[in-house]
Amino acid sequence: MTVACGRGVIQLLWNLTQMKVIDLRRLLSATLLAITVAGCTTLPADHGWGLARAELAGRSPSLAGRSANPGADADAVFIAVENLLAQPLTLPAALSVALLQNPRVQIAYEKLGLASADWLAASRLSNPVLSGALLDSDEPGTRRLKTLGLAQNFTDILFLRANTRIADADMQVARLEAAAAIQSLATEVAAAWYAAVAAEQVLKLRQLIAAAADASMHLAERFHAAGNISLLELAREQAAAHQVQTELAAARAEATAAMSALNALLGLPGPAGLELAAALPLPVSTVTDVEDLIDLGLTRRFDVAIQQKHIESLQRTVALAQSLRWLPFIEVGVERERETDGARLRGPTMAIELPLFGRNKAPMLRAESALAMAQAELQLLQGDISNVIAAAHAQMSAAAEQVAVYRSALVPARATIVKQMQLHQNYMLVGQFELLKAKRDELEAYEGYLHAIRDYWTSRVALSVATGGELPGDDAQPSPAVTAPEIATPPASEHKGHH
Amino acid sequence: MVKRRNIIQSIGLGGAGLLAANEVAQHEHHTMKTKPVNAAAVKRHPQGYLPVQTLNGWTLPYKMKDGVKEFHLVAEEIEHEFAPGTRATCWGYNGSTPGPTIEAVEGDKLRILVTNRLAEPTTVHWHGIDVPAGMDGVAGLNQPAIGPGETWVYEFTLNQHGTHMYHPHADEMTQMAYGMMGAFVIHPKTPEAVPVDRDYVFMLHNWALHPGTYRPDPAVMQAFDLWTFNSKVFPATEPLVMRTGERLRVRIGNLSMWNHPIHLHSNPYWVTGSDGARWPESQWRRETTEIVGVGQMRDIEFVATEPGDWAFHCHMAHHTMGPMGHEIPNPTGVDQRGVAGEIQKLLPGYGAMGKHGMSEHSKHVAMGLPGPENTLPMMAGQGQFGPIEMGGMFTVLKVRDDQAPGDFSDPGWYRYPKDKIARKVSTDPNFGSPPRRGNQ
Repeated sequence: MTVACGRGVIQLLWNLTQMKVIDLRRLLSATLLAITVAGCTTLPADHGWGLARAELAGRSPSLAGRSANPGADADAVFIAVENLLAQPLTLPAALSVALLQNPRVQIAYEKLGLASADWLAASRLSNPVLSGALLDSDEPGTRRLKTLGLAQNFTDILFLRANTRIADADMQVARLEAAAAIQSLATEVAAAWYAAVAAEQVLKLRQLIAAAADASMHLAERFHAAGNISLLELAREQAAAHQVQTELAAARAEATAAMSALNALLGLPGPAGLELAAALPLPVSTVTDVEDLIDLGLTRRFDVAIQQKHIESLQRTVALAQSLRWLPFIEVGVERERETDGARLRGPTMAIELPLFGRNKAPMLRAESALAMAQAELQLLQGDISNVIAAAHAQMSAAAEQVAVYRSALVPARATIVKQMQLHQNYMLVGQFELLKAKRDELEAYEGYLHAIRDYWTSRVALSVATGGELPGDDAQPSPAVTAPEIATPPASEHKGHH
Repeated sequence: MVKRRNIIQSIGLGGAGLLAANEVAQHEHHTMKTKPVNAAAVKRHPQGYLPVQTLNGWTLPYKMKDGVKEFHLVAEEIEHEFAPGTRATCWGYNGSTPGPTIEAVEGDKLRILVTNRLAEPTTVHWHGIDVPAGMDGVAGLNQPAIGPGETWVYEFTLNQHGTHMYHPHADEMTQMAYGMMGAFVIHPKTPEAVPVDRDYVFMLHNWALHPGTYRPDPAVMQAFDLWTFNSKVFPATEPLVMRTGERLRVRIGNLSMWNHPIHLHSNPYWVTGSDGARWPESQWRRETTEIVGVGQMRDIEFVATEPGDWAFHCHMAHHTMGPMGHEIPNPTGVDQRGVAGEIQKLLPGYGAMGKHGMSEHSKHVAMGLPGPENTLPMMAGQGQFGPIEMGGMFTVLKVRDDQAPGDFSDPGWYRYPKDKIARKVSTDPNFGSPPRRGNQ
C-alpha cells in the first residue's frame, strides 16, 4: 500500500517536474526524506509495553521486575495467582496478584495500543486523491466530458518529519502514562494492604479488650450475686463492658471494609476471603533528608516528565506554526479533461489560498499561549510537589516518632502498671476491677501503638507517591513485625491448688 | 547466777517480803506454784531501782558530772526496719526509733544535751515532767528552735516519779510521724511499797508507709498502714518474758494519732499509774483492756499465776494487721469459678482469693505469693500450731515456771500439758445437736 502510494507520487512528481513547476533537486530531497521517514514507520509488537516498563524500572525497580505481561496465558495467570493466595498475603505477594489480576493493567495496555494507532496515523503520508467526472452535454453530437484528476497534499509531505516527531513525543507520553498507571495501582494496593493488616491487628486487640471488659463484668455479676456490691456498681461495670462491645463491632466493620478495598484492588471478586500476613513491620530506620526527597520527586515523577514532554511538543508546534505562518493552503494536482467536442485537455492544477482577509494568526496564537500555559502549569506542579513531599515527609517522621514513644515508653509503662497492680492486688491493697481496668488501659496503649505504625506506613506510601517512586530504605531488611500480646493459657499457678 | 552486787539489795529484799505479804492479800484464791525468788540474780541500778526493759529498744547511758547526770540526745535521720521485709527512712534519736529510754531517779539533777542533725529545726519537750517553763521545749514559746547542726542543753531537777515521754515540739506532726519520740522513766526516791519483779516500757505509734515506698507519709491523719509497739510490727515485736508468780509492770505511752485499747490475755491486770506517777492503791483499776489515749502513759501491773504464751495486743482488729486496702470490693462469698479462668487468660498471675475470709492469705504468702516491694502481707506470724494471722500492735507475754529471775532470754514456745489444751472432737459439721435460736 505504502509502496503503491510512493509510486503514484513519483509519477506525479515526474509530471510536475516536466512541467517545470517544481525545482527537481529540492523535490527529490524532500521526497527521499519522506520515503525514508515513511519507511521507518514500524510499530513495536508489544505496543511499546516493554519501553513503558523501562520507564517504571527507573523509578520503582522492584515493581518493574514484577510487572506482568498482559495477554499472557490465562491459565498460567490463574495458577500464579492461586499460588500467591495460598500463603498469608505479604505486600510483595499482594502487588504480584494485583499486577496479574487487576483489569487496570489490561486497560493501561490497551491505552498504549490506542496511542500506537494514533502514532501510526500521524507518521504516515496522506494518500493522493483521485477525482473523476463524467459529464454529458445536451448539445447533440457532443461527446461526454471526462475529467480525471490526481491531487496530493504537499503540506503533508513537507511537514511529515515534523509531524512524525510530534507523534513520537505523544507516544513517549503515552508510555509514561502507562507506567504511571501501573505505579499508581501499586501504591493504591500498598496503602490498602497496610490498612487491611492494621485493621485485622486492631480487631484482634479489640477482642482482647472486650474480653477484659467482659471478665470484669462477669466478676461484678458474681460479686452482686453474693450481695457484696450494689446494683449501681454492677450497672457501671455492665455499661463499660457494653461500650467496649460497640467499639469491637466498629473495629470488625473497619476490618471488613479494609479487606474489601484491598480485595478490589487485587482484582479479585467479592466477598473477600483473603488471609493476610499477621502483622505490620516496624518503621524503616533509613532517614533521608527532605531536600533530597524533593529533588528526587521533581526529577522522576511521571507527571513532571509528561508535562515536560508536553512542553517540548508545544515548542515544536510553535516553531512549526512560525514557519507555517506565511504558508497558505496549497494543493497541486494534475487534471485531464476530454471536452465534449472531443478535445483532450490535460495539465497541472494548483489551488492556492489567497490571504486577502489577513493571514491566519489563530494557530500561532494558540500555539504560543498553549506553550506559555504549559510552562506555567509545570511551575505550579513543581511548587505543589515540593510542598506535598515536605508535608508527607513531616507526617511520616512524626508517625515514626510516635511509634518510638509507644514502643520504648508508653506501652512498657502500662505493662509495668499491670504488673505492679497484680502485686498490690495479691496483698489485697487494690481490688480486681482496678486491676482489670489497668489491663484494658495497657491493651488500649497497644492499640495506639498499632495505629501509629499504620499511620507511619500510610504516610510512607503517600511519600512514595509524592516522590514518584520507591524510597531509599525500601529495599532494606524488613524490621521484626509488631504482634499483639499473646493470649496466655493459664499456667499451673500457685492459686489453682486452693480451689 | 549472781549478778552485780548492789548497795541497796537489802531494801529490795525488804520490798520482796512486803510484796509477798501483799500478794497473798490480793490473790487469796490463787495458789503460788513458783520456786523461791533469788533477788540477787536480778540486776539493779546502783541507785537501787530495777531498770526498765525497753521492748526492741535500749536505755540511754549517762555520764556523771559533778553530781549531774548528763545525757546526750542526737536527733537524726535513720534507716529503720519495722520487720524483715519492710524498712524505711525515718527520723529518730541516737540511731533508733523510738529514741533510747531516759531513765533517772526522782531528785536527780539532769543535763540533757540535744544535737540536731536534721535538716530542719527541732526541740525536745519533756512530756508530763515538771520543769521550769524555759526548759519545756516548745519552739517559739519557750525557746528558739534548735537549728540544724546546733547542740543545745536542757537542765532541770526531777521532782516527781512516773512514766513519761519525750518528743519534739517543732514541726511536731512531721517529726513525730517520722518516729521521733522516746520513753522517760523516773523512779521514785523511796522504794515502792509494792515493788515489781519485771519492768517493761514501750510506745505505741502509727506509720503511713504506703505500699511500695520507703518513707512514711507525715501528711496522713487517719488511714495508716503500720501500727507498732516501739516502732516494730508483729512478728518482729519482742516477747515479754517473766516467771510464774512474778509481778510484771508494763508502761505504755501513746504518741500516735489514735487511742488504743491495750488488752492482755490471761488474768485481768491492775492499771496502777500514768505519767502522773504510780497512783495510790485505792485508785488502781481492774481491767483486761485499758485505753491508752493519745498523749497518755499507762502503767499496768500483773502477777502471773498461769504459765503459758499470752497474747498482748491492741484490741482494734485493724491495728493487729499489716497493710491492706480498705476500699477494695469484698470477696467473701463470691463464687469466681469460671470467671477466674477468664481473667487468667489476660492476667496469668491472677488467683481468686478471699471467698471464705482472709485466712488463706498468709498461706498463699508463705507459698511465695508476691506483693509490692518493701510491703508486708496483711497477716503473718507462725506459731507452733500454725499461722497466728496477726501483724501490727501484737506481741506475746511468755510466762514460765522455770524462767530465772533477771533472765530475759526468749524461752521458745510453751510446752502445753496435754490435758490442758483445746482438742478436736469431730470433723463432722453435723456433729451433735447444738441448740439454735428459734428451734430449741
